[in-house]
Amino acid sequence: MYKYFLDIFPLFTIPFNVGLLFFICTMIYKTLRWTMEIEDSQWKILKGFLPQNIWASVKEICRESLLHLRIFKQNLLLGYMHTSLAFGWFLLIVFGNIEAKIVRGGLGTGFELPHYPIFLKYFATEGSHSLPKTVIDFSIRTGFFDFMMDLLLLIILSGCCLAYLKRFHSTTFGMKRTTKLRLGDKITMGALWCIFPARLIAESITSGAYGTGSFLTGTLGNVFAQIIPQAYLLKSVAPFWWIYSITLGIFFVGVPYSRYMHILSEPVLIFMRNAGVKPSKKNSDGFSQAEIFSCSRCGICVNNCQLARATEIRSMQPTYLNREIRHHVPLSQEMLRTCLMCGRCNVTCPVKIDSIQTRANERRAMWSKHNENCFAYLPKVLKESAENSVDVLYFAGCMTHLTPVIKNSMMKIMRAADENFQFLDENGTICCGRPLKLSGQEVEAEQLMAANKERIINSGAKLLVTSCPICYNTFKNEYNLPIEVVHHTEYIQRLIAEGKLQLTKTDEQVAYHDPCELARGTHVTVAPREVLNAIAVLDEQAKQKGEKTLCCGGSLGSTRATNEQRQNIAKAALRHINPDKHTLVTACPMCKRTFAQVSDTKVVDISELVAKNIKE
Amino acid sequence: MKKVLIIGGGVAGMEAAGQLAVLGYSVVLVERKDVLGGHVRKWDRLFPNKRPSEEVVNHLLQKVQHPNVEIRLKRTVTDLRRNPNGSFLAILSDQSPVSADVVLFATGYHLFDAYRKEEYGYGIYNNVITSADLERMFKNGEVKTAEGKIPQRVGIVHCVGSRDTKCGNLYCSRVCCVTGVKQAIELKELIPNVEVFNFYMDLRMFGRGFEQLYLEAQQKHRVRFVRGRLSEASETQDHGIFLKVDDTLVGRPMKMTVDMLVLMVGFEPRKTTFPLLESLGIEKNEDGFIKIRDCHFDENRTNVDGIYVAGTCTSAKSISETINDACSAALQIHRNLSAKVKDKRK
Repeated sequence: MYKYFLDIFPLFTIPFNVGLLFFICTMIYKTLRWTMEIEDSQWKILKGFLPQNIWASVKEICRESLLHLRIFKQNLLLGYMHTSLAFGWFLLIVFGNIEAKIVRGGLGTGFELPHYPIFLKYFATEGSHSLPKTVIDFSIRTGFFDFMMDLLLLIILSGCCLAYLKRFHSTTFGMKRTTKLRLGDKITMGALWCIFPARLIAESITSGAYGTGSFLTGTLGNVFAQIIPQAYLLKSVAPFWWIYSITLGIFFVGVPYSRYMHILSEPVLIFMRNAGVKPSKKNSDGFSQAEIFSCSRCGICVNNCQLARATEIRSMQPTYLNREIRHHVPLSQEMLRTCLMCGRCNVTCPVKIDSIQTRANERRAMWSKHNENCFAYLPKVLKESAENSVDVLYFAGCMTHLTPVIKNSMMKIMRAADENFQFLDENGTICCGRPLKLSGQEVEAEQLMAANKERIINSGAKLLVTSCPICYNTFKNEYNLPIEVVHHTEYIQRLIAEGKLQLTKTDEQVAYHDPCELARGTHVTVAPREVLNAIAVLDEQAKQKGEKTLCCGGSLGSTRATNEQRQNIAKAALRHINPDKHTLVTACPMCKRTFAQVSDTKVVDISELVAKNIKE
Repeated sequence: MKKVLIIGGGVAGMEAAGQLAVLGYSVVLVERKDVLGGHVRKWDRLFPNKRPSEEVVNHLLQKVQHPNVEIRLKRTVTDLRRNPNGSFLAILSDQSPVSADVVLFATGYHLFDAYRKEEYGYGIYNNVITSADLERMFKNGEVKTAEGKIPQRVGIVHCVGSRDTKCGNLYCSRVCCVTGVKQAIELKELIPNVEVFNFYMDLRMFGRGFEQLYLEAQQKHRVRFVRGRLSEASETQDHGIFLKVDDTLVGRPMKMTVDMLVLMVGFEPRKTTFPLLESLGIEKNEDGFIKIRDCHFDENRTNVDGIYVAGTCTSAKSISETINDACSAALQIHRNLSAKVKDKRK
C-alpha cells in the first residue's frame, strides 16, 4: 500500500502537492465566497457564462493576467518582467504537459497527475517508475520540447533577474519607488525568486548526470559534469529536486497570505466585471473584495500619485489602502483623509481597480452618526426661484462665485448668443453635494441634492449648464436629472457649431490644463480643445494629456493636505502642463484658483478667453 | 571720504542718506522713480495723528539736501559686484558705474496685488478698490463710486494678502489694521451720513496712539467692527457690492450690500530685487523678505559683509519704525567703516 502510494507520489513531490492542493482549495473557497457576497445581484454572475462574455473574459485574462499589456504601456522593461514571469510560466506548464503526454505514449492517455509534468526531467531520467522506452530514445524524439522548455526557462529567469534588480534599483523601470512589503509577501516573494533558479540547477544536475538536456540545462549540466565527480552528481540529483519542490510548495501556500493572491483573484474579477456585476457602496461586497484581493501591489499607483511625488506622503496610496483593508488593519486618518481623490491611480492601475470608490466607501463607513436635519433651512431659500420658463439654466456653483470673472464671462457669452436663460444661483448657491460626498457624509449630501434637484426641475429648462466640473460630474452622474447637463466648454462648443456665437481667431499661444473632474470624471477633453482652436493656438503640450491629466492640488477630496503641500503639487504640475510659459487656460474654477497662486504666467478660464474674443 | 551706495529713495533710503551725510560719508542715493519719497507720496494723511504725508516727505527731502548726498533719479542698479579689495562696483541702468565701500538696501516693499484674491472682485467690479486707491481719492478731496455717486455704505476688509496661507503670505503686514481704522474715520469725517463696516480677524493696535484711534472710531464715529472674514463679493445690478461674511462673534453668516468695498492690501517683498540679491548671495527668508543677521542684535546687516539693509525690505514696518531702522542702519555702517579706518591707522 505504502509502496503503491510512493509510486504515484514520490516523497519529494509532497511539498509541491500539498501546496498545490491548498492553492486550489483557496481558489474555490474564495471564488464561492465572493460570489455569495455580491450585493448587486448574485444571479448576474451567471451572465458571465454567456458566450460573448466568456470570450471577453478569456481575451482580457490573456491580455492582462498573462501578457500584462497595460504594464507594457507604463514601461517596457516593467512589462517584460511581468510577462516573462506570468506568460513564460504559463507556457512552461503547457509545454511541460504536452511533453509529459508524449513521454506517456501519445495524447489521450487519460488523467495526468500535476506533479508529473513539473518534475518530468526527474522521472524521465530515473526511468524506474512508469516510463516505457529508454532515456536516449526519448531525448531524440522530443528534442524540440527540450529546447522549448530551456528557452522558456531562460526567459523566466531573465524576468527573475529583472525582479531582483527592480527591488534594489527601481528607477530603471521608470518607477521612482517600489512598494513596501509585509512578512507574508517577503516569504512568498523569496520562494518565487528561488523557484526558477532551483529548477535550473535541479534540471542541469540531472542533465549532467545522465547526459541529457538542451542548450541551457545541457550545457550547464556538462559544466557540472566536468567539475563534479559522477558519483556525487548522481547523489545530488534528488536533494535539488527536493529544494525545487519545497520552494514551489512554500510559494503555493504563501499565495493567499501575500500580494501574489492577485494571480487567483484577477481572473475572477475580470469574469465578474464582464458579467456586468456593479460594485456596491460597501467594501464588504464580494465584488469589492475581489478588487481588493486583486491588487498586486505593483506600486504603479504610488509611482503615479502626485502626493507621493510632490510631497513626502507615501503611505496612503491605493496599494496600501487595499492591503490594510484586506488584512483588517484599522485605517489611519492619514490613509482616509489625505487622498485628493483625483483618480489618476484608477487610470493607471493595470488591474483597473477602482480605488477611489474603495476609499469613498471607507470614508462613508467612518461616520456612525448622521444629521438628518442640517439643511432644514433650505426650502425657504428655494421659494425665490420659481420663474417663467427658460430654455437654459446656468449653475455657477460655489467655486465659480469665488472666481467671478468666469461667471461674468458666461453671462456675456450667453447674452451674445441671445440665449433664453436663467442664472439659477445668482443670489446664492446650494452646494451640489460633492464635497460632502467626498468626505463620506452621504446622508447630508442627499439633502442638498434633493433641494437642488427640485429647484432645477421646477425651472422647466431643457438644458443645465455648469461652469464647475465638480458640479458637472455630480449633476451628470449622481442626480439622475430628467434634463441634459453640459459643462460650459461643451455648451460653448455647441453655440459655435450652431452659429450663435461668432468668435475671432487670434494667434495667441495657449497651454491647456484638463481638470481631473472634467477629463477623468466626465471624459470631456475634445470640446475645450475645439473651442480653444477657434480662438487661439494650442501649444504642443496641450494636444496630448486627456485622461491621465494631473491634479492641480486644490482638490476638495483631501481634508488633510496642507496649503503648502497643495502648492507643491501645483508647482510640480505646472512644470509639466506649461513648460513654455504660455497663458494657461483651464476649464475649472478650482484649477484656476490653485494655479493662479503659483503660476508665473496668466491663468484664465476658457470662458474668459471666449468672452474676450466675441465678434462685436 | 568713504562712500555709501543706497538703493531706494523711499523713507528708509532718505533717512539713512541724511544721517550718513551728517556723519561725513559720501552718499549716492539711487531711486527708480523720478521723485524721492516712495510709497508715502501716494498716501494722503498718516496714522496716528493724521499728519499730511507731504510733511514727512518734505522733512526727509530737507535732510538729503546735503553736499555729501548725490541723488540719481530714474535709475536702477542693474549689476552689483564686489571688487577684490572688498569694496563694491555698481552699474546703473544708464550704464554709469558707481563704486562704494558699502551698500545699503532700502528697496522697500510691494503692495499686494488684490486681483490675486479674485473672490473679492478687485479689477472685476468697479466699486472694489484698495486702501491705496482710497488714499488717492482722499488726496483728490472726494470719495465717489465708479458711477460718480457719494457712497452711503462702505465695507473695509482687513488682512487682504496678509495672514493668508492661501496667498502664501503667513505674516502680518502690521500697518493695515490701523490704516483701516484711520480710513474709516476719514470716511466718516468726509461723508457725514456714511455707514462704515470694518471686517477684521483681529485688530492689532500695538503702536502709540493706535488704541485711541480705534476707540475714537467706535465711540465718536460709530464705525461698525465685524469680526469675520469676507467669504465672497458679487456685484448687484446697480453696481453695489453684495457681501457674504461670517460674523464669528455672533456665529452667524451675514449678507449685506455696500456701495464701495475697500481692501486693506498688505506688504509683499519686492520681487524685482531678487536677481540682484541672488547675484550677491544675499539670503532671504521663506516669505521673500531679506534675512537679517540677528532679530535682536543685528537687524541691519545681511549674511554678506558690506551689505546693509534698512526699512521694509526686511519686514513690514510703519513710517516711524522705518525711520528708526534707517537711523540704526546708518549708525551700524558708521561704526563698521570707522572701525576699519582705525584698524588701518594701527
